[in-house]
Amino acid sequence: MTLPTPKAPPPALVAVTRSTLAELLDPAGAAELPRLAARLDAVADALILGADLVFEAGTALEAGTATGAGHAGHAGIDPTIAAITLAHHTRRVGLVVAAVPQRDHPYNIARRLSSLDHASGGRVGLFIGVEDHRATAGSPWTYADPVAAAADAVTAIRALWRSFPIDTIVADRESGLFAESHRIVAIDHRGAFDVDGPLQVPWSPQIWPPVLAWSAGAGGSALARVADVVVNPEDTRLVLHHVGSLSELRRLLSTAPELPSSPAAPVPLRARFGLAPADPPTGGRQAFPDPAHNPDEKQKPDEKQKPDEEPNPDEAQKKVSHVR
Amino acid sequence: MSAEPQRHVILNVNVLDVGITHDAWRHNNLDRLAFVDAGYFQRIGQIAERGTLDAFFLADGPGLREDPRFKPSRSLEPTLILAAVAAVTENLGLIGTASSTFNDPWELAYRFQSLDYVSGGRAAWNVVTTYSPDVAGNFGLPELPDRDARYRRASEFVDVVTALWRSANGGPPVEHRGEFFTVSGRLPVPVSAQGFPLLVQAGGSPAGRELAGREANAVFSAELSLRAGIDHYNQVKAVAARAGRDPAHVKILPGLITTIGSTEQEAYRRHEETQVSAPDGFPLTRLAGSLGVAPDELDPDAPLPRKVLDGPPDPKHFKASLGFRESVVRLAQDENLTVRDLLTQLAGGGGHRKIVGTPEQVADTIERWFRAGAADGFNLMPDRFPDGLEVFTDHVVPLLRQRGLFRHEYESRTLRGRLNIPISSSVAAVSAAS
Repeated sequence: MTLPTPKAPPPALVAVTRSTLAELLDPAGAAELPRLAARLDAVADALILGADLVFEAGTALEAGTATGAGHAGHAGIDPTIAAITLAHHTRRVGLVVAAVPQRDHPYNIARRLSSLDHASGGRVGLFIGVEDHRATAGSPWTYADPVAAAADAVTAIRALWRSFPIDTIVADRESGLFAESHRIVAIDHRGAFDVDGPLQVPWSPQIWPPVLAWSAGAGGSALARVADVVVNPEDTRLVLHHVGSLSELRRLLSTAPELPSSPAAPVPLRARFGLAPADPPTGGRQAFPDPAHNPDEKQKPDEKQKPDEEPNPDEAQKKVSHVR
Repeated sequence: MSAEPQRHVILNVNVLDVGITHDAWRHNNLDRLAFVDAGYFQRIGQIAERGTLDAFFLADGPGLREDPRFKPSRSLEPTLILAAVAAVTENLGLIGTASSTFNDPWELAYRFQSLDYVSGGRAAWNVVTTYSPDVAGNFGLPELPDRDARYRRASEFVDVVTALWRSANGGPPVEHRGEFFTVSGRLPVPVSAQGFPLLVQAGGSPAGRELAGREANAVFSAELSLRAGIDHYNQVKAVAARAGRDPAHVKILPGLITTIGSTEQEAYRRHEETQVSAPDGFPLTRLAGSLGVAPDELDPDAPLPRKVLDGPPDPKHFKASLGFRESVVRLAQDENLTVRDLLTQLAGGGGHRKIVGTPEQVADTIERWFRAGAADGFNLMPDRFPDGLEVFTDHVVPLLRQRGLFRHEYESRTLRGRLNIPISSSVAAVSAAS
């Protein structure tokens, strides 16, 4: 975990539940949205969307909100849908999207987060959760322990995020070559989830949006090991405002101190958390082998090479055969 | 239906990357990264709304299915593109494709209802089962489930999703135990301005038409000839009637590829640009792919081989679209075409009808299909964006308005309102799902 040096002011995070997002993006309140969005840009380094997916009920944070409990039962909306709408209305605030790979497959999470990072100019982060207590029980994708599955999902998602380098897209109008596709790699991830890749979205502005985990939540230590930023209720290097309703959000946005002004261009969220720009490896099995660019003569052009290790029967049993 | 004062053609735009033609990106002066730019999709949505089109449609599959060496392909996730388009439009419908094989019904129901809510009741889910075998490996499956299993799953998936949407709209909590899913509870998401999203079905296989007739509010079909279009139109409407539904509540919308010029010569010049720039063997490889054979099995100067005309030996495991295959084979047979003739007629369009001509000629085709009972409207597939759509909204839409076939302004803000589909009849099999 890396956080800014003590000299920099601590990042100010505003955590909102899915029900607050529903209130905030109610079409009936569209007239107020631009003003609230501008205040978010002014006072927060990042908004955490769908905090109820990652902060367990009954924690100090949840209990600390005056009306949080009263809103826990309200209908909410999907954090990724909320994030793209807010990406449109804001210019600089980070958008940390809570996601749980219980009913949402890691491939689909990786794709939506990468899409969001493109749409927001590199302002997106992933807050990894273990279980959505408001969803129907169980996972349709894996029998693995939910904490292990969430940690494995982070590994798979990061591998997907690096699989399609954006500079492969040359778009040479003269020759007709759109992408140097021989440089796109499969990931052949094997674990709680098996994911071949590549991702269909080329590198987003951050390539690797920061992954956050909650130290006090279920599986905190397992997720802390794979996260870039661990959010800890006692950590003074973060200022965390937990908001349980739109009226609380309005109050916070009108009273919170403004951040020092920043350049007009969006700051990558990684930088706000003191993380260096991502520099992922680019090697791997070619997804679209090209005889002219084949590092391995023996690999036939249309034959996918699988990792040569034997499948572990215990691993294999964890998979749900979701189409029987 | 007869009580409606005026019946309009339904027009959606299918925003296939930067255009359906393989070389659209070489001609349209867009940034090379337009296909991953939400702002690009927002601008297309604004053009569509200026033309009072019914909806913005996105095709999809969760994987990098086609080698992007020669063209961009589906990249950003559709529900997010649609939510971005919703932020800059007020009336345009938003139809997103999502696979019933590679999603979870709870998560999908939640996300689409969220899109429907933030957009003020403009969303629809286009159900596909995904026929591309390369996608399976992204989801831990050694291979794509066969067609029968995919459609059994799709049918149950749709039942669960619609029951969940109804649970969010004051219906009973879901208690579902089926072959594929065990789901219980109430979807904790707000009601939208149209209640919940519409259902669209894409895919022209026999199982697809059956699913569409029973459950869908609209069908995105692939038709090459008017006769086949009329046959399939009647088939789906008949399935709907047998399922106890009003056939008017399932709209038939074939794809229509357009290359438009102010004169016929100009349109053909634009079309030729695309033909000559095709990579070697590209059209033949595509045709072979959609017929499920190797390119060298097709002789350009001979009719389609017996093996193709006889149909796939095992439809369950056919690795391409049965609907595309059927419409291509039927065109070749009806008109007794050689492979070369067929390629000329398809004009790079795959299984969808393609028209190259003036705005009048495009309007004529739309009118003829509509009046003949082959279509309630079209899923438009402009050759290139944005100009291929602009020429349609600026020059074809006014003609359709003059002929009384299309609206002058939006009469309802919700997609359900415009398509005149009541909530109660949108899905027949609700009780079966819970």
